[in-house]
Amino acid sequence: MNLLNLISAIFPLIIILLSGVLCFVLLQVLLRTPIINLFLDIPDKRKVHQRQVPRMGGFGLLITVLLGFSALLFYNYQYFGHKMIIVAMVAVLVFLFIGILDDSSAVYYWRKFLSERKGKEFVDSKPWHLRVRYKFLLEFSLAALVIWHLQLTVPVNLPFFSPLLIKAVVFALTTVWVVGVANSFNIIDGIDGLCGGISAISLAGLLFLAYYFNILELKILLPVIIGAVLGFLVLNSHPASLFLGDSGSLFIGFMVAISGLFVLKNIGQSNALPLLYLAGFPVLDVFIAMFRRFFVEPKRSAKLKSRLKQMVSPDSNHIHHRMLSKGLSHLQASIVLALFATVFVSAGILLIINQNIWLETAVHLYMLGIIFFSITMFYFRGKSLKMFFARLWGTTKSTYKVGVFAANNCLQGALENQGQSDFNFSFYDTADCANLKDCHIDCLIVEQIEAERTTDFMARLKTIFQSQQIPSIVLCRKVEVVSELIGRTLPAKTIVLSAKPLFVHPLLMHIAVLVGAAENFTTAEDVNRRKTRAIEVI
Amino acid sequence: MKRLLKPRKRLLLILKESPQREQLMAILSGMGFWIDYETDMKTALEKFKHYRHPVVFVDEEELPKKSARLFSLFYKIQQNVAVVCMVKPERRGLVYTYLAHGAWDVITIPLRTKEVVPKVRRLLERYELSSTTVYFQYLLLFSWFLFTIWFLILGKLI
Repeated sequence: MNLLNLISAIFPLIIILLSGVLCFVLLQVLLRTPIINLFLDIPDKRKVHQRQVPRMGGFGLLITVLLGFSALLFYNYQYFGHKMIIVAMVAVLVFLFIGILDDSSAVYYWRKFLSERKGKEFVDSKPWHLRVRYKFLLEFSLAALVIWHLQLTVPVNLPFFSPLLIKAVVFALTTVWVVGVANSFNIIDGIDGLCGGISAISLAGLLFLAYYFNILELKILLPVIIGAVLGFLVLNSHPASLFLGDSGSLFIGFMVAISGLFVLKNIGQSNALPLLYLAGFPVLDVFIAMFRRFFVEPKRSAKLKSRLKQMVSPDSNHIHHRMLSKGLSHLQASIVLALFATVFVSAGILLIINQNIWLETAVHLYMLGIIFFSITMFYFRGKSLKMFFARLWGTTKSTYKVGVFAANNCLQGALENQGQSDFNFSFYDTADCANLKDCHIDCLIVEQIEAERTTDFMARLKTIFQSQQIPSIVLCRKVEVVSELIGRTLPAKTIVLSAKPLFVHPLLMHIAVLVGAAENFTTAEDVNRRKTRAIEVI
Repeated sequence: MKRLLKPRKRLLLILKESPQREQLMAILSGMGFWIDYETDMKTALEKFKHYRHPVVFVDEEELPKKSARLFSLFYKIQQNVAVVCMVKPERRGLVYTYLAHGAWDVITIPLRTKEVVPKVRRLLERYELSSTTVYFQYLLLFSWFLFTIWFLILGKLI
């Protein structure tokens, strides 16, 4: 009895393992066959990979899932009675069909073969792929069929409509939701390991719910898909040996959407919001991209038609692209975004298993905060939040006044351009030394004039330091002067630098340290960010 | 197999003058880098968008009048890239201008191996360090978000 319990407890783990190994072996075999030449993905401007990679991961994944489902039906023929399992098998076949048409160049070569056989000249120069409208038609048809067959609905309350109209609206909404989620998983498949990792997390969350609410169909189906995804992920980790392709990512997204709806139907939940969290990061990314393309990126005078056109046209500014532009590698970006997706899925699970209204509201507010904060981090440069809050609470001065003595034109221009947002530079002549007290400056920069003799410069420094002890930076023309000055007793908080060559960002960093604002310039990168902002101001 | 597939670090050179380019390429490829070189700024930007090089060497003669705009394009594509300007001795006065416009560093022609090698090493170290810092910041932040939710889930389960 104990052994049986143990086996039933680790049953999903065994299925995941078997499915994973099967998928991995199948893909390895496929990679060693000439079939890969039909599935090659050629790099272009928008894509981030640098060499031709076969996108047959979806093909292998779907075959593994099909074999897994067949094995389960063979193991227990009573599973034939479950509608969900049959639906999943039909979905696999449809996406396999889409994969052969869209991910591969099979049709192109078939047409070429036929025309050559007839002795005609073959004119098509590009490999043929399934048109978007036909792909959408197939997806919508499949989604509508599945939703109608399983009686799935997005729980929406529409109090003032007739029951028939409500049914029609809800049916349409559910279909759009399923197709939308499937395509959002396809859209985020932009870097190595991202789509696989995130879908494994979403599916694992759904498997947890299936066990929590004892939903047999999902307990059987999901381990097979999760295993196949993990098996594929081994080969998709950076640098990827193969890609998922449209068929694989669409299938995974489709199964996530359908399984989420199936869970809600089984537990009788009347709130649709957990579905958003369970699909998680891909849906958020698509929403942000559409918002950005409709409201932010077009010119103000752009018409509605062009805005709508731009909204659905692809670009390289998705969240994963932003992560790469922050210097993260593919693996690092995938790990961070998988963690982000886990936050969403966990929130979805929490909302489904705990239906307390107060907790629900708190979780929604918390997630809204996280989304706002994350978007700020991913998309905005410049002022860090720390700096923003420091200024808001008045813990730092908004600008520091820096006096520059006898600056040449180059230094003056560079300082004005680069540091204007953080420091207020005032430029003085050598004659102003005596009036220094009335200037109320926080930091002083004294530069040796081109033709100034060392003795004169020393005398000038002496006058300045006698009149007031302010944090200072001394810029010398000659190296000998630097060593001589360092050898002397200088006032506290004085830095001696050589003016030839002088780099402006280290100089700004020194000023920040001297005026006590160094915490706002924590890294060299921070200085770099300010520099970029200064450029934007120009 | 994956080890073999792992690409070498790429650096981008935007230089027309061939003796300088040959010299720099010899130094950098000797350090184990893969060098991409372009003579045209437009194609160089396309290449940079694709490969996201950590360090870019630009000859100041190749820079347009609005060099600030160009530098900002580089930073927009890759935030922690270091754009290094190569300046001839007689045009040293422009160093401040380029730095003000956003160049990370300046090296002078004729090139000296003693100057270039440590500079490139330092720039790459900075690049690695800044990207790792960003990575750990994200990890820490999202882990914090995650644990708060898991805490509530565990509270419900227990």
